[in-house]
Parts: sequence; C-alpha cells; structure tokens
Amino acid sequence: MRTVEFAFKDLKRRKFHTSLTIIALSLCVTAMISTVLIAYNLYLSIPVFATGKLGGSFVNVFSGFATVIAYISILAGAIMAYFFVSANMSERTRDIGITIAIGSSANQALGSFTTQLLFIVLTSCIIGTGAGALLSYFFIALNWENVPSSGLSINSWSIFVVLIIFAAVAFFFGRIPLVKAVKVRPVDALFPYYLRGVSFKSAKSPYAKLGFSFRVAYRTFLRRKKATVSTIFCLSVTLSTAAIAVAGTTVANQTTQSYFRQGVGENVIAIGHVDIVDQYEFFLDKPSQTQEKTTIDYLDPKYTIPDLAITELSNIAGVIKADARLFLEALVSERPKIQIVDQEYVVIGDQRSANAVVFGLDSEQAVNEWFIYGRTLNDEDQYSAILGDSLASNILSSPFVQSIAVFENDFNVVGVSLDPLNLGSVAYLPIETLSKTLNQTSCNFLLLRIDPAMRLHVLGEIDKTLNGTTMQFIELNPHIQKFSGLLQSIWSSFTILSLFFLATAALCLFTHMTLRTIEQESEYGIIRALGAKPRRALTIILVQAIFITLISGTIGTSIGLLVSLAFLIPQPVISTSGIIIMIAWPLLTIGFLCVSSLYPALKIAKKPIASLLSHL
Amino acid sequence: MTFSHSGDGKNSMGEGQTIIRAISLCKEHQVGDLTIQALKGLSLEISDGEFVCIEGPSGAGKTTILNLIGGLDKPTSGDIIVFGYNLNDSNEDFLAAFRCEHVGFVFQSYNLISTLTASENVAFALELAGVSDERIIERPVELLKQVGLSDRANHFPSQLSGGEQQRVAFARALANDPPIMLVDEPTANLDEKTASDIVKILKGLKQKGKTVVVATHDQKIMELADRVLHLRDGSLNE
Repeated sequence: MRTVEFAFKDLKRRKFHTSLTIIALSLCVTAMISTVLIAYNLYLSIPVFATGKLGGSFVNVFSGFATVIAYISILAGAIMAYFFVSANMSERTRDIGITIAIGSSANQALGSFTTQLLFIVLTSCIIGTGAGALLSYFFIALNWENVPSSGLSINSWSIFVVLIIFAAVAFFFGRIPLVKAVKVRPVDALFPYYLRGVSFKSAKSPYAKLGFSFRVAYRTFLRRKKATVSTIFCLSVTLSTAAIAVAGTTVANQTTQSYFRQGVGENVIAIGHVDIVDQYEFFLDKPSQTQEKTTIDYLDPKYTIPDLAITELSNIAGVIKADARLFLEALVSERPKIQIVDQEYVVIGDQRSANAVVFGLDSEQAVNEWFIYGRTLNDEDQYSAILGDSLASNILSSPFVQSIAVFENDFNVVGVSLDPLNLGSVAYLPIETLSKTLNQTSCNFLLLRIDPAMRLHVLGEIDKTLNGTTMQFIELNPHIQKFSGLLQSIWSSFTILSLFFLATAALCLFTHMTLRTIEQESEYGIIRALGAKPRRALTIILVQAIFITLISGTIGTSIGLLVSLAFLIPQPVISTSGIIIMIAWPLLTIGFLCVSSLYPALKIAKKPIASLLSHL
Repeated sequence: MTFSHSGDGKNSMGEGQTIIRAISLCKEHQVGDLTIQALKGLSLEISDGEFVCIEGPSGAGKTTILNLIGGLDKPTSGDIIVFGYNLNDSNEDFLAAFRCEHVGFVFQSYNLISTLTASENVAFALELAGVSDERIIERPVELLKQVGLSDRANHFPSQLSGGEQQRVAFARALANDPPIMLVDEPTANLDEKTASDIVKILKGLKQKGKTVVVATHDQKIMELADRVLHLRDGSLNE
C-alpha cells in the first residue's frame, strides 16, 4: 500500500479521533481568526467612534485592550494547536512501531504519518478560516449597535499571519512525537504501556485520607505527569486569555468610569453666571453637543462671583468643599526645550499651540481627583500646570520635560490628567499667578462638593442664595451618568467578544477532555472489571477534571488578572461587583468544564466492560 | 451490596454444589454489518471447588464464556446463574459488587493499571471492597510474597516482565479471597519457566478448594483439571 493511501485509509478508519481533532483544531482557528478580526474591527472602529467623544487616553485604553486580546488569542490558539496535534500524533507511536516492525523504513513511516498531520492541519485551517470569517461577520452585523461601523473590515494580512502561525505551530509540534516515535525501538513502541507517559520517578504512594476515588484520581494525575502538565499549561493559557477578556473588561469598564467620575467630580454643584455655567456644560457635554460654542468674554465683570456670595455658599451646612476658580479660554503654546544628549544639543518639541479651557484654581480646594500621570499642584507651585491628556499629547512632545506658555507666562507641566472636560483639552494653573497676570481679583466659577445625604437641603439653600442674581447652578452627577453610559456601551462590545472567546475555548477544552477520557477507556474497563460501580468511574473522572481545572483555573485566572490589572489598566478600580464577577466567572468556567467532562465519562459508564477492555 | 462466603474462599453453599450454571447461552457480536455468533446455545454446570479447563481454538468463545461468568458481559439470550443469582437480570451495581467479592479475574493481557505499582494494583482491589487500611497495607505484601514478587512491589507494570505482570494479576485476583477464579490463557504469552510458576499458583488455588475456570491450551494446566471442556464454534464438546 502506498504511503499516501495508507495515511488516508488510517485517518478514515479512526473516524472519531480524526473528526474530534479536526473539530478541535478548526475551533482553535475559528477562535483565533474571529477574535483577531473582531478585535481588529474594534481597534479600527473605536478611535473613529470615540474621536470627538472621548479623550486621547481613554481611546488608548480601548485600543490597547483590543490589541492585547488579539495577540493573546493568537498565543492561546497556537498553544491549543500544539496541544491537540501533539496529543493526536502521540497516539501514532504504537502504529509507527508496528509499521517499522513489519518492514517499513523509518522514512516511509514518518512520511505516511506526516501526510496525516498535513491533512489534519490544512483541513482545520480551511474550515476554521471560513467559520471564523463567518462568525466575525455575524458578530459585527448583529452586535455592533453600540459601536457603529461601516461593516466587517477583513484584514487579509492578519488572517494570513494567524494561519501561518497556526499551521507552523501545529505542524512543528505535531511532527515532534512522530520523529520521536520513529527513533523509538519498535519493541518499545509496541509495548502497551509505552504510550501512556507514566512517570517512573516516584513509586511512592500519595497519602490521602480523602476517599478512594480521590486517591485513584490523585495517583493518575500525579503519575501521568507529562500529560497532566501539558493539559494544565494549555488550560492555563486559555483561561488567562478568558480572564483578561472577561474580568479585565469588567475592571477596565469600572476603572475608566471611575476615571471619569473623579475627573468631573462626584456630588459636585457648579455655580456661576448663566453664560459661564452654560459654557462649562458645553465643554462637559462636548461628545454629544450639536450646537456651536458661543464666544464670551470670561473676564467681563458681570461674570464675577462676589466674595460674599462665595462665603455664604461655602458656609451652607452640607457643603464639604468650595472650589472657586477663574474659568476662561486661552491659547496654550508649547515651549521647546533644549537638552544636552551625548554632548549634543537636542531640541525637544516645536512651536505648537492650541485653544484650550484654562482654569485658575487653588490646588488645596480642587474638587477633582483626576487619574493623573505626575502629580497635582501644591501650595508652592507658582508656575506649574496640570494639562488634560489630549492637550498634552497634541501640543507637547515630552510633557514633563517641556513647558507651556499661557498669557506670556511659562509654566512647567507637573501632571497630565485623564480629563473628560473639553475632551481633555484643558489646563489647570495656580489661581494666584493667573489672577495677577490678568489683573483679576475675583473668581467667575464656583464648584461645591456636597454631602449627598444633605443634597436637598443644600440645593434649597443655594437656590435661596442665588435668588435674584444672574447666577445659576447645575448638578454634575447627571452628566457623569450620561458619560458612563457611553463607556459602558463600548466596553460591552469587548464583553461580548470575550464571552465568545470563552465559549470557543470551552468547546476546545471539552474536546480535549473527551480525547483524554477515551485514551484511558481501557483502564476504566479494568477498574470496573475489578468491581467498581459505574458511578465510581464517573467520580474518578470528575475528580481528575476538578483537579486539573482548579489548578489551571487558579494559574490562568491569576495570570490573566495580573496582566489586566498590572499592565493593561493603569490604577485599576475594583468594586464589589467587579470582585463578584472575577470570582464568579472562573467558578462558572470550572463548573462548565467539569460538567462537560462528564459526557465522555457517562459514555464510559454505559459501555460494556468487555468493549472497554478491547481497547487494550 | 454484600455477598456472604466463608473466609477460606469457599461460599456458603457447600462443596460439590453447582455454583455456576449456564443455560442455552448465546452471545452475538456485531462487527459492522456482520453478526458473529460467539456462543451458540451453550449450557454448562460447574460445581463448587471444581477445577475446569476450557480448551478450544482462537475465536471459539473461551474468553466470552469467562466474561459472562464473571459478569463482565451479558448474553444475547439464555441465562447465566452464579451462586443462585441470574447475572443476566442483574443491574450494574449488583454486578460490580459481585465481581468485587465473588470473582477473581486474571486477564490474558494482564490488564494491570499502568499508573499503579504492583503493590497498589493489588491494594486497589482491596480498596474497592472497602477493607480496613491495615489490611490494605498487609494483604498486598502477603500476596506478592506468595507469587514470588516481594522485591517488585514498588515497580510499575511497564517495569515488569510479562510473567511478573501475570503473577501480579493473580495476586490482584486473589486480593479479596474470592470463591471463583476465572483465568484467561494464563501461560499463552510466557516462556516455559515462567509458565511453570503460573501452573504452581493454579495448583495452589486447587489445593485451597477454589472454583477455578481456566481458558487454556496448556497441557500442564489441563492435567490439573477435574474436567476439560472442549469449545468449538461456540458450542461445547465435553
């Protein structure tokens, strides 16, 4: 029989194993292709969608997340490919031994089984690519309400790269057991126990007082070290990807919402002349503004808030902090910096400038608690400034090295804040310096932080105080809620993506569990032949599944969360609901995996013992 | 579920009584579209303490009979009654307890569990029967000594020769001191020296008064038998 003919005949006759491996590998490719395509589309769409709605740093968080998810899905897919292919090809060791024993040359045997490997890998690539593209299309068509897109953008290069990585990994790692098997003496390869990868290093019995099924499962787990370690490795990577996707998205959602809440100020009331308050509202709601900005003279005396009014408003019971500001718009210019690098003068920056919202404030009284790179202003800062993220990135090359000029005064940049106001195009300067420069003695804008428990009383008192003046007040909380909805809608796209990846990974793992249980079929036959009831075999398989999933779950989830929290999301905020989600999802995943492992176990429990033993 | 038999391996029914009764046993195997008749209306009776050999060419149905007596498989038709229990009507839980306490099975391909050492393979059968921890430690040592493998207790099946694995399989089958021993081709894959060790073990079983059913071609084993059954194409010729 010719090499190729034998290869296909052999594959055809291992119908169940071949189908299962092709399904598992196709699912890997599907998951990789669809995740990369969806992440790529998210990556493309979010900046387009978010420009004009979110500041630069917010957009960077989203895009960074999409990129990391895409890369990690490629890594996880490659590892799963390695795992399934090497597991499937390891089964051929005995057959290779037989073919060599009956006179086939090592090269003929290797050629025949390499043909099988190529067939499996190529078929999976074709099925997986088609299914992945189709799934991405449906995902985007059906779930893209939140992030409008012009349809699925297929990046052929990304598909090509994914396929090359997958095929290379699958082929390389699939060939390793074949090459090893060819080198094994036929007599060893034919030995029934050779295949099972039992570790002979320790024959010491594991002590456990936890019952029979536990002891048997523990022993198997410990002594099939190679198989156990590779399973745990594969599951850990898959689960860490899922952790980044599910828990990471949850934390990222809460964190970015918190950035926003703290940037705007929770339980804060803005007070000023009607025009000034309208202007502030305009800058705060810029993402949803449809009307043009009106031009006003911020320094007009009619906008001044009398000191007496500020004192009265500050003294209302329930007011925690009063933050009186000088609010205006101004041209903020970049000041290039000359530095000596390697004994050469290097100019950092240019002569860029932009119109921005400028606040003069007393740092001690500021109601904002921005997420900030660098530091906030303090009492000693006379010529220092905090810039919003967009302003800093638009006009400065190196914010902490350069300085800015406002009204002819130079200010060193000490902090860059994630600021939703005017989409991050904002500068905060010491009020004393700004007032002196502009010869302005009074403020035109007041922010009050209030005790939410005394909200109604405070609002009533403010109303009384402002009665008969041209001043008005607005609460900032409704604006925070509006913006939270926008963030929520973007992160929900990631959540759907992550759930999709989790489901695909779970399907792959189910296939893996099935293959592993089938591999041990004969041993469950022996256990039952010795007098174990079917449910005992079931318990042993379940305990093994719990062992493996618990260890992989712990490792995978920890790595996933660590990557999300330490590298992807700056200063993560973890709320109670976030903790619940982070605890619940690994438990659900582990539960699902354990339950899915019961299917092959149930099949074994129902199978006649004689039939199980015939696999020996 | 528990069964009662005396500690010396004999059941409470008394020596000489029929303990295994097969009535018109038929067993069919489906191989693709083809139906293979492994047993064709076979009937037999085996008494307590009897040493019976079943001889016949490959594919005659020897292993199938052992599987049916041991409750590993069910007949397509007919009844198999052991100690008065019709195994054909019994559920899996009953059969599991029956195999654990009443039958010691020695498989042709040994069927040791690859991840357990020789000693653990023996202890495994004891653990299944729920015996005390003390006994689980003592009994394997005792049995492995009996089969001459005291020094190989901590070796895995893959580290043992075929003959040694066969002896571990005997030790495991004897772990719960079952009244019936079913032995499938025990010397088929062994050299003359190792085969004679196995014959000695079987002789010991006979002396102990166990009911032993052996599927074999080995003349030396057949010499031990009280009765030799000749199986041809699924039917018996005594």
